[in-house]
Amino acid sequence: MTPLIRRPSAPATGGRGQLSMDFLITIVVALVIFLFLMQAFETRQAGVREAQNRLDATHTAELVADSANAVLLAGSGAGALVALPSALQSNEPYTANVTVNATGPDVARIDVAWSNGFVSRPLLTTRASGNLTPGGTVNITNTNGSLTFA
Amino acid sequence: MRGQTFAVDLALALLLLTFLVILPTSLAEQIERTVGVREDTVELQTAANTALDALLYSPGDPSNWTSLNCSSVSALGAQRRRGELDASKLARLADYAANDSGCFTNRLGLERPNFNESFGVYALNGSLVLGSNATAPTANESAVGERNAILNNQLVRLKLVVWITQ
Repeated sequence: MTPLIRRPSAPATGGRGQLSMDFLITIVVALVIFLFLMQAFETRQAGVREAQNRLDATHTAELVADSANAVLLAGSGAGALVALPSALQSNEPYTANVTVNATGPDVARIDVAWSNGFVSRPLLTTRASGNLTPGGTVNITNTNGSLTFA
Repeated sequence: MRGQTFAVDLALALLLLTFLVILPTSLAEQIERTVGVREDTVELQTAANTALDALLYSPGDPSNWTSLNCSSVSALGAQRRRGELDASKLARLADYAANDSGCFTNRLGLERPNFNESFGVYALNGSLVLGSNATAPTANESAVGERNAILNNQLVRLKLVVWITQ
């Protein structure tokens, strides 16, 4: 006759199984939340980088345009030296140009463009020409109301 | 019982975590909006001041621009002598501002997305001498530029209001 033996380890086995399931669920939920947070963080970081680039580009365009307008209003013979940054925030390369259109809106302006955007600031005269080199120093001169960027 | 306790713990933790995630996100968006408004205001103010400086400190290019077509004008300005304005140029400018804002805006650096402007010349008692009543609609981001000058031997105030339509 087989004796009835109560196995003391039975409850412990069930408990261990339940604990593992809890642990798995917790890990899965934590991972999902972590991934969501990482994605949200990355999106936010990209937004901040873009905002920094836009602000820096705006500042650069304003620096050149404001100096050029001041030189224009100061009269013939006036000049100014402006140092351009070599890159935007987070080392983003950019291009800067003096743009003059005979007709249409924003007839004369300083354009600053980078990989994801573009800003411009107006000049007060259409008689403007020259080149802007990132990282260089631009010499703005007024000759009889004509602005030259060199 | 343990399972229920765990579920309640998990729900509370998730709720707390969601709150902690949403709070900084909404705060960051609020800060972004505030910075954007501040940037717009600075841009508006700079544009208004630059345009008024151009009118006050330059005779225009060429200086006889009032007799020319807008496409032949390189720069607008209304200076007669330092601190004094040319009445005919100012009248033409007011006319441009009221009827042909294209020439007024794109020669004075005001041709920007959603930019609007209103230009007026006032006597010191506040009565309008030239142009239109320079005010911006309420609930718009706006900036006011003002300069004093002499016009026809009288002290006048140039007022340029620039605002952004949303």
